[in-house]
Amino acid sequence: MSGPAPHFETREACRVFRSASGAGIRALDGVSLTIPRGAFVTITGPSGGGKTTLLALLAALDRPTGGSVHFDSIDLARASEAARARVRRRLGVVFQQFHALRGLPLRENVACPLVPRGVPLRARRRIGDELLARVGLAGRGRARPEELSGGEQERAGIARALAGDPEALLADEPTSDLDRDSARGIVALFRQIHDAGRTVIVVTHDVAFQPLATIAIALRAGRLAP
Amino acid sequence: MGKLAAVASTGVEALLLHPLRSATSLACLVAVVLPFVAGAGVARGLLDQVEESIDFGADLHVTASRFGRPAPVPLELVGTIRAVPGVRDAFPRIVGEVVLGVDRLPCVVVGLPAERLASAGELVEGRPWLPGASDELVVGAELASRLELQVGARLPPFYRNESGERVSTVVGILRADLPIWAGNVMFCSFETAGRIFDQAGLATSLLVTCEPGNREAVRRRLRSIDELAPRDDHGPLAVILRSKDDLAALLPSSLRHLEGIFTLHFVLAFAVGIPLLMVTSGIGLAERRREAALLKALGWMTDEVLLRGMVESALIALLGASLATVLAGAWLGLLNGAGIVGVFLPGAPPAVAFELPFRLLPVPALLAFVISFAVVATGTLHALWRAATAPPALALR
Repeated sequence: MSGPAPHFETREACRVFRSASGAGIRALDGVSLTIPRGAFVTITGPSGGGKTTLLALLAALDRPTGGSVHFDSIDLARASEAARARVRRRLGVVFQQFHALRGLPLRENVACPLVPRGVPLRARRRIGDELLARVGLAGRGRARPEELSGGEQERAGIARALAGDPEALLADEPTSDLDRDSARGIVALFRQIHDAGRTVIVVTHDVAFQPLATIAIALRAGRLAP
Repeated sequence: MGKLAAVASTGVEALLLHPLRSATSLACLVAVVLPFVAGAGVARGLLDQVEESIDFGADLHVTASRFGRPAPVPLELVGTIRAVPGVRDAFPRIVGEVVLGVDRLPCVVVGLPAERLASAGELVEGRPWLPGASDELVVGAELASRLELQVGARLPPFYRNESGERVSTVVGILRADLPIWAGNVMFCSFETAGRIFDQAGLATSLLVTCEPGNREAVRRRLRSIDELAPRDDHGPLAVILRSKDDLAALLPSSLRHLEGIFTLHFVLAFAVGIPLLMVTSGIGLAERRREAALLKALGWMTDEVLLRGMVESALIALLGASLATVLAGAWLGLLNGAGIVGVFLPGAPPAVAFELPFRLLPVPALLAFVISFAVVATGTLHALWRAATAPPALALR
C-alpha cells in the first residue's frame, strides 16, 4: 500500500538554456528527488551548480526541458499556465533579490500576493504591517523598498512569501546579505515556519540551516552530488 | 467582484508608480487628440452658424442659371414676385467677390437695399450707409483689422467701370462677435454693389419673405408663373427656387463635415501615435516585463496582469481625452483658436479678429477617448502579454 503523495517530486528533471550563440547549457541534468510534506530541505552546492534552477522548477516559475516536476501530484511541466499560477498561490517564494514594485509602500508590496484573492486595500495594508512586524520590520510599512538596506529587503521578501499563508516556503539564499545576528533571526523564523507544519526548501550556503534539515541535497554541475 | 476590484485598483497604482512613463504617454495622447477635439468643435460651431443663418434668412431664395452655372437674375422679377399672393416682401441682393489691398485679400461684397441694414444699427460700430449715398461701406471686423481700417477711412479705388474710378468711405465696422461669415464681408447699397461689378439691372439673387404658413404655397405659385423663366437675347434663363429646407439639405451631415479634420487628425495620429506606441511598449518594456514577471511569480494569473494594464491604459486614455477637451476649450475660447483657424478656414490668418465659433460635443470627446485607449492599450497589453506568458524565472533574471 502506497503512503501519502509527496509534496514535491522530480523525475530526471532537466533544464537546458540556450546561449546567444545557440549552444545548449545544461543547468540541471536528470535530477530525481522526493520531498514529503512537512520536510525541511536544504539545497547546497557551488555557484552555477543548478540550485536556483531547481528551486525555480519546484516553485513553478520555470518549466523543465526534460523529465518531470510534480507538486502535490500536479505535473508542472504539462500543466496549463493558469494551473501553474494556481500552484504558485499555494507557495511562498523568497527570491535572491527582493524584486519589489518600485515606489509602492513596503506593506503593500508585502501584501501584493493577496490582491488576486480580492483582499481590499485597507486589509492588505494591515496584513502587510503584521507580516513586517513578524520579520522584525515593525513600523517600516510606509517605507519605499528602495529605502531599505539589503538585510531589510531580505526580511521583507520573507514577509511577502508568507502573505498568502503558503503550504510551502521556497527561499533562495535568504541570509546571504545579512550579518550574523540578523541571519540567526531569519534561521529562527524559518524554524517557526517549519514547526507550523509547512514544507521549507532553502537554497543556502549558510551552515546555520544544516541542523534544521530533514533532507540535505547537494548539487554539482546540475546533478545530485553523491 | 471583490477580486476584480482589487486587481483593477492596482491599475491606478501602476499609473502613479511610473510618473515619467505616464506623463510621456499622456503628453503624446494630448498631442494626438487635442487638434481633433478642437477641430471638431470648430466644425460644429461653423455648422451652428450656418444653420442659424438659414433659420433667420429669407423663406425663399430665387437664383438663376445658364449652362448649369449661376447667372444673374433680372430686377424686373422683383415686382412680379411681390405681386404673388402670400408674399410679404421681396428684394434683390448682390453677392460677389473682389480682392483688396496689395496683399489682394479676398472679400465678399454684399449689396442690399439701404433700408435692409438700417435696422441693424446696433451691430455696427459707426453707422449703416445712408439712402441715396454711394460708395459708403460697412466692413467686417476681420477685414477692417487686416486692412487697418477705421470708421471714416477712405478706400482708394478698387474697381473701375464705365464711369471711371471711385474712392469709397468706410462708414461702419461690423461687431467682432457676429457670425463668422461677417468677418470678411463688405456691405454696401445695392446700387453701389451694382457699380462695383458694373452690372446694372441685375442681382445675384432675390430674397423672398412669405406670410406665415405660406412658404410652400408661394413656391408653387411662383413655379407656375411664366415670367419666372425670362428670355433675353441669349435665350431663357433657368430660375431656381430654394427654400430654407433646401438650403439646410445642402449642408453636410453626419461626419462628412469633419472630413478635413479627420484628415488632419490621422496625419497627426500617424506622426505621433507611432512614437507613443514605442514609448508605451518599447521604452517601458524592461520595467513592464519585470513587473509582470514578479506578479506572475507571486501567483497572479495572466488575465489579472492584463486587467491591471488595461485599467492603467484606460485611465491614461481618460485623462488624455479629458485634458485634451479642456485644453481645446481653452484654446478655442481664450485664445480664439490661434494657430488652428487657418487649418480649418482656408485663407484665414493664424490669429483672427472675429470670434471663432465652436461647440465642443460629447461624441468627439468620446471618440478621442476611444482612439486614446486603442493606442495606449495596444502598446501596453502587447508588452504585458509577452512578459506574462514567459516563465517568470526567466523574466526576473
